[in-house]
Amino acid sequence: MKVVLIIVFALASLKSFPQQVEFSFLANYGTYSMGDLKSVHDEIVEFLPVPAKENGVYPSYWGYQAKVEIDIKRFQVGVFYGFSSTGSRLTYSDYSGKAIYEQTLRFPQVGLSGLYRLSRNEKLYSYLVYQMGIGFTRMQFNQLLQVGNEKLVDDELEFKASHITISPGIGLCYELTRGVFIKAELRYLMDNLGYLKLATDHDVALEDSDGNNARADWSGLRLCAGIGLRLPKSQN
Amino acid sequence: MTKSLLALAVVCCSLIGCVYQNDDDVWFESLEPPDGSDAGISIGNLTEPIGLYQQTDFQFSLQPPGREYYNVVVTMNSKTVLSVTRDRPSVFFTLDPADYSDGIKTLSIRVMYPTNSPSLAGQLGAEVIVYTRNFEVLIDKTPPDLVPAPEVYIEDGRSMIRWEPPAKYNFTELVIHRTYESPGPGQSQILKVADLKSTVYHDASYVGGKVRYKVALNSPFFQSVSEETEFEAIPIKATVDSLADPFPKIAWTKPILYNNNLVVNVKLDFGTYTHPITEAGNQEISVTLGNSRAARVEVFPVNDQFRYTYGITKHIYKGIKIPPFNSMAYHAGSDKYIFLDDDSLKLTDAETFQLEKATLASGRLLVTPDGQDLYLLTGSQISRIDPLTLVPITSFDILDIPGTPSGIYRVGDLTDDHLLVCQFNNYDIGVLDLDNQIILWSDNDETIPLLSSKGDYMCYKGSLYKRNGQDWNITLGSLSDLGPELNIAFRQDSRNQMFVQTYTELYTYDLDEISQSGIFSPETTRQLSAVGQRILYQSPDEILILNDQQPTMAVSVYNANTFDLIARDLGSDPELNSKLYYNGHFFHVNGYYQP
Repeated sequence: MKVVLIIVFALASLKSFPQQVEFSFLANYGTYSMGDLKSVHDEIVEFLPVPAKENGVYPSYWGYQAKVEIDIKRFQVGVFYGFSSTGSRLTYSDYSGKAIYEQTLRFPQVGLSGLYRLSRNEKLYSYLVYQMGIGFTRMQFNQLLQVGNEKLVDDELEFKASHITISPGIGLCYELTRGVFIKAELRYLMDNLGYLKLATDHDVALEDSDGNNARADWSGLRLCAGIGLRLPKSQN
Repeated sequence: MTKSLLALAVVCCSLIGCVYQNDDDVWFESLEPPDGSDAGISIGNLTEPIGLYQQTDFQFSLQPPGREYYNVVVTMNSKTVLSVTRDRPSVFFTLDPADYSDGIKTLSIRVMYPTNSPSLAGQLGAEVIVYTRNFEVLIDKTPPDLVPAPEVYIEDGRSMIRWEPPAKYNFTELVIHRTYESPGPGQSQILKVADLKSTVYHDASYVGGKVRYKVALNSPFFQSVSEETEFEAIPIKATVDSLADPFPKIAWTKPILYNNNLVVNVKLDFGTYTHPITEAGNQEISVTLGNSRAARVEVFPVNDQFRYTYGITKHIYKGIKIPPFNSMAYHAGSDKYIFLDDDSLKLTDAETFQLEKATLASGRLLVTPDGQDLYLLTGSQISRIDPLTLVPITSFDILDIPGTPSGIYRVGDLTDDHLLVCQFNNYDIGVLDLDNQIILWSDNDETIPLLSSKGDYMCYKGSLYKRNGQDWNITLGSLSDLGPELNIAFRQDSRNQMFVQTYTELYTYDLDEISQSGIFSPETTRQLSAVGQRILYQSPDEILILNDQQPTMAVSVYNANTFDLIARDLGSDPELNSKLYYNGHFFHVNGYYQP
């Protein structure tokens, strides 16, 4: 939070910047492919001798993105920071013990962004958007298998993965008042790499049911909506 | 502008806190924990207290079946007997009473097995049931009191043995000792009684005869044996009819062990016939003799192990019916048989024995050795009989002969010249000339002289004499040097030959040769194949018959010229001496004819 506030106030000082600067913040609702991790999840379900209950299997969830861009004619280019998260959970308990398997994934992302306005109307316009960045997955993998008071398995593992993403899309911008506008975007994020390795030992990788290295695949749609501020040009 | 930036910062901050969080709830499955009510240890049909009287292998089955493993710990009086983990719901172990003192002991079986319940622990194999069951085991190595001697009886064709129940049943083997007295003592068999609680036993293998029974209660630690009981049963009475057609007919009566596992074996020279004894009552069988006319027959009950010792064993010969007789003769001249019974004289064909003529008569029939002349002696009256008509040719009273001292006691040999040896009632001996009705020779001694067939030679008091006119006063030699066991017979044909049989040898003497040379020595010497007892008879066709030694009492037939053995063992029964041999035929006084 502290970091974000510093960034916001730092950007406020960009009023003296000779180009017009735009700062925007968009919330998004994303879907995540997570094919390999779902396979791992299914394998755990199959492994358990009891009918465990699923409490979410890498569901769609809220994320956000902040961008700082400058205008160059009908283009805007800048940088962005994004964050997404999801997870899964299996639980079972009876008089004799309990079994809990849960994973939580966090995905911060930074990169370059750009857009092209499709019309010259300043009040309302649509645009094409394109983002390219790198991301870092941190996956918390907790498993507990307990019979009576004896914990047969009690592990808290952390996996990490690096990603390169590209995300094209379209957007719509409407200026509410001078310098304040709202934006909506629909993008598709394409994720590459993302192979999960144990944080404490990078030689150990998470494998799916076929024995292949599993990856956290954040690919999916991103439906974004947010607010932006356009700082006026410097008068010098 | 600054206000707008602050508003944007607030929105950012609210979204930045939005990180995916898993639900904290844990799904709970409502299951009842297993209570072990399905656990069990089955000991089959054993009842407590379990009697342990010998080293015993125990098998217990465990419930429920189908578990991955069963951990079993068996203890006997806190001493571990077995500790094992098995993959099957059964347990085996061995207990030996020798390892424990007498008394009630506690056998404990503790079994642990996975529940296989649907719970998490059950499915992981971490949930087990522990079940323990205790059994009472009785160890008693003290022998029970002796049971009294058993009772032996026959019931519905079964030979049964009954005994009093013992005071306790800590024995492991119930046996009956059976000892046959025949074929000899010590022939003991052990009959196992499967049911230890039984007090009666059917000795289905008993074949009859004298036996002794005793009951034994055995264990590895003691043997308790009752007194003996003697018993005897005659299983069958067998008969053989040699006159039956087909020959022979074998029968047995009154089988009393008809429900024992016995069969009757009829063993003949040419085969063995087996017949079951299925019911009481008379039974008979017929066997085909084929071309044979004689056979050795054995009839005896038998089972897999034993045979009845006192069954019938005898030789039989195919016979035909002939007239009953007191004496008989073969008339070689007419080839007829003449039979004399109490009141009639009968003439029959020599082959078929069909009656051809009969007339009233009584007394004793005499025939000359050459088979030509017949005489009938009735009291002291003697008649020469025509063998074709049975009519007397001449007749006179012996006592009318001058010099006869008294009535006739018995008569001996009749020669071809019609000389007859007589012993009178005063035991004086005389040789009568029937043709001339005179006494040729007499002596006041009880010894009966033997005359040769022509009357030329006489054997008397151990010496051989030759006839000289009306006397036999030429001494040819003494037989006493050959030994005391002498049997003497003259040959009954034209040859003057004498047979002398000692214990194991047979001598022949050529009487004419001895008479000319004056040297008394045997013509031939023959070792007998069997120990002889006496010469029974010599047939006209030169067959010599010797009676072999006891106990067989068999008759052997030798060729009188070559002394080759023609037949032996032609009979072995106490009636042997009542048989007559004539012209190659055996005649029995009870009327049977046996070729």
